[in-house]
Amino acid sequence: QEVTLRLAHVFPKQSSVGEAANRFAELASERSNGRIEVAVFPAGQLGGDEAIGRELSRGTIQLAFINPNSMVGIDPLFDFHILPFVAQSYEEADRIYYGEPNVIHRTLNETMERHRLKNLGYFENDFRAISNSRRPVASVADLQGLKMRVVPSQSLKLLFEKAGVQVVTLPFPEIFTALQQGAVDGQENGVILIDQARFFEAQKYVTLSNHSYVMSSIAASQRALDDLSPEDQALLTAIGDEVGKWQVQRNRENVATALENIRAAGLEITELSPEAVAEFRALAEEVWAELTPVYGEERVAELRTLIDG
Amino acid sequence: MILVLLGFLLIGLPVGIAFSLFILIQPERWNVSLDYAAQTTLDALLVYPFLAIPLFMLAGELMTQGGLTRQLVGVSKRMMAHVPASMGHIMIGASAMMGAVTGSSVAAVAAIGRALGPEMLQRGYKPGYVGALNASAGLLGVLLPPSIPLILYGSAVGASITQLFLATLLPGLIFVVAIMAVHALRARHVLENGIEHEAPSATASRTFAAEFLSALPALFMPVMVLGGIYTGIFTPTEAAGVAAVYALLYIVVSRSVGSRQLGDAFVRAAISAAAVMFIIGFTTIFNRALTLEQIPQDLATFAIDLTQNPLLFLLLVNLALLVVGMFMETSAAILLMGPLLAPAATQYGIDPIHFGIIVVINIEIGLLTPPLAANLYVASLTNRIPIMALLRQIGWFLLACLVMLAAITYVPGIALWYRILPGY
Amino acid sequence: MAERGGTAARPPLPADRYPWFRRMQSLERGIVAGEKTVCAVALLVMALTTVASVVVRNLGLALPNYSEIGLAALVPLTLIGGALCTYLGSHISVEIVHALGSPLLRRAAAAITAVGVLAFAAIYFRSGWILMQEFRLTGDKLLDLGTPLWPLAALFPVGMALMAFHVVLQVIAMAIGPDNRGVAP
Ligand code: NA
Ligand code: NA
Repeated sequence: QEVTLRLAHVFPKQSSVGEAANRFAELASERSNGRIEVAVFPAGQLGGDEAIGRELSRGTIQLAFINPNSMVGIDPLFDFHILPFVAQSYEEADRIYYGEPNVIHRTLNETMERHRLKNLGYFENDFRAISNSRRPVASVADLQGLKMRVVPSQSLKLLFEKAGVQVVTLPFPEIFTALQQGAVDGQENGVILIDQARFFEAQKYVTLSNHSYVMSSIAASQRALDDLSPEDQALLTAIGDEVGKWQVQRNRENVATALENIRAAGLEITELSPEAVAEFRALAEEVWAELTPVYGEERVAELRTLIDG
Repeated sequence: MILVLLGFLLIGLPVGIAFSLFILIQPERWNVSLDYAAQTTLDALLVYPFLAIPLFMLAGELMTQGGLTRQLVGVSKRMMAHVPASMGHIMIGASAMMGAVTGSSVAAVAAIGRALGPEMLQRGYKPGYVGALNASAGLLGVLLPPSIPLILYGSAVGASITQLFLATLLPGLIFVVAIMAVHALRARHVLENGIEHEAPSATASRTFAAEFLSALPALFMPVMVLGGIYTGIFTPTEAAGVAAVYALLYIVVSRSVGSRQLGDAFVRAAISAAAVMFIIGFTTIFNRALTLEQIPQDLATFAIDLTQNPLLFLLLVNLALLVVGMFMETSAAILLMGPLLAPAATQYGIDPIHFGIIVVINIEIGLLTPPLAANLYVASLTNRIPIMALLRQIGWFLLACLVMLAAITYVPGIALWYRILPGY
Repeated sequence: MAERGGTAARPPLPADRYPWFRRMQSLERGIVAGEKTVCAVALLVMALTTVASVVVRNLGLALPNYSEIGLAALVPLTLIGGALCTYLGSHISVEIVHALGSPLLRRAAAAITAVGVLAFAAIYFRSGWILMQEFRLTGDKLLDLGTPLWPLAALFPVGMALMAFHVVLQVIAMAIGPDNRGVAP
């Protein structure tokens, strides 16, 4: 029998995620000989990540490319995988996030399953960077006293607070005006988003701090999957895995382009020295310690072992 | 099927209920879940920029109660002593000022309607006209920066938001002139005896200096709100709360209003705000159903595929967007239509900044076109005027909007004027 | 949408013949006073929390961002306020029927409208109930202060019940009263 599945995500159609989502839809139709049709709703047409997550859980949306860390209001374990300074380079990210299954994947998958979501594959959002309009940020001390919008995540808010930042909460559509008029000095997001949301128009300095790596999930509604045959479920899982891997490569090309755009717009781009990274890592270590009660002793210990390789 | 919706509206069902029920009587047809209908409403309400709507309504109500509005009007009237029907021009000017403060049309309508609507009614304007002028001038909330719809367009399409803000300045000013022209032409017809009544509490005996001095607390208000936003002390949404608390403090300090009246003012503002938020909260499921059915998406594709001629393309885009604007809420419509249409526009050689202004003006005009016409509804509520009376007066303003839209569409220089500035 | 505000603004009714109805009306007046208080307080909370967040940010105080509470206050304002608007007849609606129709037509429209509002209230009552139960189970909350979502969902059944109550009284008033102006929710 034929089935139509709705796939939602918050990324622009032309982004690597948007392309990957369309690819997912094409492959699903092709490989099921037209039995499975996937209708893609990009760019937050069906709401933000949190809303999409709830709908997946209820089965009113069947598929999504989702940032599970945005669902931390639903479950505190949803932002375990974006803890600061787990990975600093793409080599580390590839090993930890896309290598052998480990505590990060287990935590994410189990948390998703508890909320009736099923992971079909992982994709890359971005390393996070720091932008601001005041001064180049080359060390922890440079952050002192800045007013910054930080993504609502337990660990990242804590990290910036510990660095002496005045953490400000702002909804996404208000960030641009707030940056432009100086209500906040800076924000932290990946360079692709800084480029695409035009934040660079209101900022002077970008630090490629890589303070957190955001891996995201190609997710299905468990309810919707249960209605499919085991073969079709396997088919979607295989496509999720394949498309996720494709997106990671594609996204890295886009990071380079975004960085060029930001540079061309006249922003000063700073990379952290090894000493500065060590400073930030020490702060991150405090954050990890403080959040251990939330995530659990064992889990954090396992993550430490994983990082030490 | 659309007849069912119109039927619901015509028998007098509240607008929010009519749109919502229309979808919910056929949940399978529209692929929505009856179980989770309330979630859609909750998601629609928990949006920070919406806080500005009730708060500006409260600020307007408190300003009127506390006499701040009367002071502002007094000074403005003195300054425009020789302009006929000056109260309407004051409302337009105040809307422009509000436009520089807020990023949303509905918030501008709410604030200005609450503050100046009663003054206009007292001076003998037809109620429907007051509402129509209020609703139309409210578009300045978006046509002058800051502007939430332009931010949404810019970030969805990847167009420079700074340039969009610059680009909208000239169209915004032209719009001020256009609305003032409509007012100048229409004023005689919509005033009893063709002239404005004098204010009941005439202050003609006082010198201008004395009046100006006594109006300082009121005059300080726009200065503070504008200054606060442009020095980065607060965001446009927060400005609404600051304005309301300022007016509240003025009332408390000056003791101009008793506590009972003050409570009544809160209740009145709350009732209007609730009616507006009710529409926002419960029409969302209708927007969602349209999106799920890909109806606006198909309309965009249709406009793109029908022609190869850029001028004709722009015409079709305008028509499609006007239709979408009739049925969809602003933010949803822009996030949906912007990314669908902008790539095609670029292929026809239309500048994405210019196109952004076209899209946003189009969808903003939708705030004046029934059946889903937020500006009209808010103006009707804040001024306590029946919607039908307002509809009878909106025609001239809509005409002015459409003429302006045509000019901006086919004379790119109006939006792209800022390219003469160094650095662009 | 002319507002029949104030305390004693209901159309005159032959309530004397129906004492039980008079009692229900006085109950309704009490409820309306409560609804007005909830809405006014919600508005005050929005104003104060917004200004508090401005102060906190600009003075760099080590206090949380209270505006989330103001945001949450939009929900009671809308839902309890929605019920209040039903009582006052201050919902936005298109009033062609009132202007044109014959008394019979007006009555018919009013009856259909009442049925429509009741159906609407029933759907959102049920949906809000489901949502509330789910939120209690999952402990969903808003992100900044951790404001729980279930009380917000619980406002749906409350608001819808109040709305239905007002409509039912309006229908009864129409049925027993000489006043045929009809229900204008
Ligand atoms: Na504006
Ligand atoms: Na409209």
